[in-house]
Amino acid sequence: MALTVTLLNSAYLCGRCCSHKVLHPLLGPLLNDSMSKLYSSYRRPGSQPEKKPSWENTDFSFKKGINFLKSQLNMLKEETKDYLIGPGGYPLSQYLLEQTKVLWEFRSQEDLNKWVISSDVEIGGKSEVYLKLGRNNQAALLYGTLNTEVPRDGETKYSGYCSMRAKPPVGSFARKKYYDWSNFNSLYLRVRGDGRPWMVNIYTDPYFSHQKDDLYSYFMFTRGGPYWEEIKIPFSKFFLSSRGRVQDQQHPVWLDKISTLGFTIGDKVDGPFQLEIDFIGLLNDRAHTEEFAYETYEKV
Amino acid sequence: MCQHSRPEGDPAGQASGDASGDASQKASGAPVWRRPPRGAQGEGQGPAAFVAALAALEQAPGRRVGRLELVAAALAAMPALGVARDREAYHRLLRLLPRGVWVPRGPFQRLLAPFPRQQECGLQILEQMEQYGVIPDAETRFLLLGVFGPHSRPVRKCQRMLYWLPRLRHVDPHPLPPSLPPSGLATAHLGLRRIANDPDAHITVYQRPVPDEGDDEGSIQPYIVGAQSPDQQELLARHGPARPVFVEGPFPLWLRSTRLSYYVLRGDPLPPHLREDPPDPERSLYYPLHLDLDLERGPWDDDDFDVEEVEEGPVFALCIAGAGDRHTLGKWIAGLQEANPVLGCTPVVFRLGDGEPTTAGAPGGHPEPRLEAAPPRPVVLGPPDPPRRHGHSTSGDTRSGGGPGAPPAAPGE
Repeated sequence: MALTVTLLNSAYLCGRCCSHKVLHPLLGPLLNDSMSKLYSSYRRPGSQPEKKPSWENTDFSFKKGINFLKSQLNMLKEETKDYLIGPGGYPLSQYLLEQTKVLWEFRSQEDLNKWVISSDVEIGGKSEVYLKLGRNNQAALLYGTLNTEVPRDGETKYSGYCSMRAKPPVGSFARKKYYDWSNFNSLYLRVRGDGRPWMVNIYTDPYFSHQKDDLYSYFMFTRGGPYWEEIKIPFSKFFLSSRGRVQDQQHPVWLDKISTLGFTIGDKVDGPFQLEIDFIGLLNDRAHTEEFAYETYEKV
Repeated sequence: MCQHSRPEGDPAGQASGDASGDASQKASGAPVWRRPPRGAQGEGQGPAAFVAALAALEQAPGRRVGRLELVAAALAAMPALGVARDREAYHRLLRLLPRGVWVPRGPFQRLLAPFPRQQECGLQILEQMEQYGVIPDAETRFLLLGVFGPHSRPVRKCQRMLYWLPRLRHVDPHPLPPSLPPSGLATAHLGLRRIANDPDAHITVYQRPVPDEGDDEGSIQPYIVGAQSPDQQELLARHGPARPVFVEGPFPLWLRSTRLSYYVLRGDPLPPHLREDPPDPERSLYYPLHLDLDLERGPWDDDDFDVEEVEEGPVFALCIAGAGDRHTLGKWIAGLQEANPVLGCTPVVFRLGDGEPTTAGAPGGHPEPRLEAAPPRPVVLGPPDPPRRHGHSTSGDTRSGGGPGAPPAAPGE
């Protein structure tokens, strides 16, 4: 009924004032960028509304376009060559027989550029996080300060988290690619922490958009100390959560459509933190036979 | 319990409309739970104050008003009173909520999302329990069932907590004891035992704190606790007096919410020709030195990672001290010398302030000089003097590396 009232009102207004600045309320959403309303209509209170129309963000210079085309065609050529060699660019025998794989190692600045760091500054908090290469360029050092002071915007209740997330793999012409980890059953991390507990998150690339906030998490407990720790986390232990809430219906993580990996710290303790990561790899632990650690029956 | 007619002379329930008629407390006309409880003024113990605050309402419930505000106020006061991790306190709070009134009757009422504010209040209690790591009980579920009914949101949340929290409680592979000792020597001991990585490590107290609490600010003498295992002693002996050893630190170590800083005695990695023992000149020449047999191991058996190893020097000893200046660490080195005489001739370089990443805000900036640590430039000391023997009087035996008044403590443990 409310809709019909709106329609009647708008029809009346249209007839009365034909100023070209007032768009027809029904056509408004169609003429604007409809995708922006669907996905990002939430604006954090206190942030400025976006006044730039989306077509102004693109740069229409010819030279840049040609360079972009060249680089993308090169990437496409590499991808075709890799496809001809075998799955993932490796020969088939390696794909079938490998027991270990190194995903990310930190030996140079470009290895660091594959990761993005963020903290609760985006919701108005005060934690700081930085990422740099460790001593002798041999490991990455993720450090900063956690601050659990809640931002005063009237709706946030908890604060204090910092995270580091890998950039999702991108193919030529900005196509989304994904990792295929189905040959392995554990995540292998060589880290040196300071005793604080971390959370490891795996983001997948789901088919349905309802599942876009799904993430699989588990904990990584560091011991602290001058010795490197080798932490193995089997994929059967990762539980499903969405938007910060653990879901009732659990299922094991599907390893063939992985998008990114992330580390988060949010253990409600104010103070500096530090984590050195040597490399992140995958392991096929033949001693681990568990399929899933949590019950999958429907919990009424 | 209806209280319509009251005698005129009773000053209790007449002042404000929503007084809960407890005849014993007549201080003001405010409801019972808003008045300060009688015994709790200036009471030091938090849990007792919390119990006393709810006691008046528990004894005489009165009218069913203001319960949601009561719960909100109690939840806000719990951390300050120290009962936030006490399940019994939450049970006490749940028993104050009315039973049966907020239970929807029938499926049609359930369909309309009944009692939303009340259910949110129950959810707030459970969320605070989750935040403080309190695992609900069968009794919690029973109390919630009585208040909200079987298909309500608080009962669902309690079921979820009962499923997840007990199994995530024991997930830590290196658990700490549930209650940590007070900060000072005992915590440092626990921290060293945790990071020492070797069950054979000997943990030695080189200096006891004066005063005993070991506070940084008012302490005359900070504590020094060190750990070294026999393997590390052997490594140090083999490291040789020609190459220097470095004292690095302070590195952070967190034990739940306590922060400690530890220092490491470490050397540079040995050059490749010195890493292995030289081949024994009297070895048998009939057998080769290295045997490379593949023995049908293929890529399906290869468990190594294809990555360059991180080159780091060996760690010879660890230490946690109350203060991180060169003087205190010099005492630690002197104490270590008793077990490792090679330290007497090895140059010791202090690289303090090297372990912390730059906290000035901009990554890559220079570390700010700190009051307690030495400046970041490495300072080379001469090798420390040979240690004083126990029981000998100090006759002209001056030390350049910082002379403590008392001889180093005898190794405990």
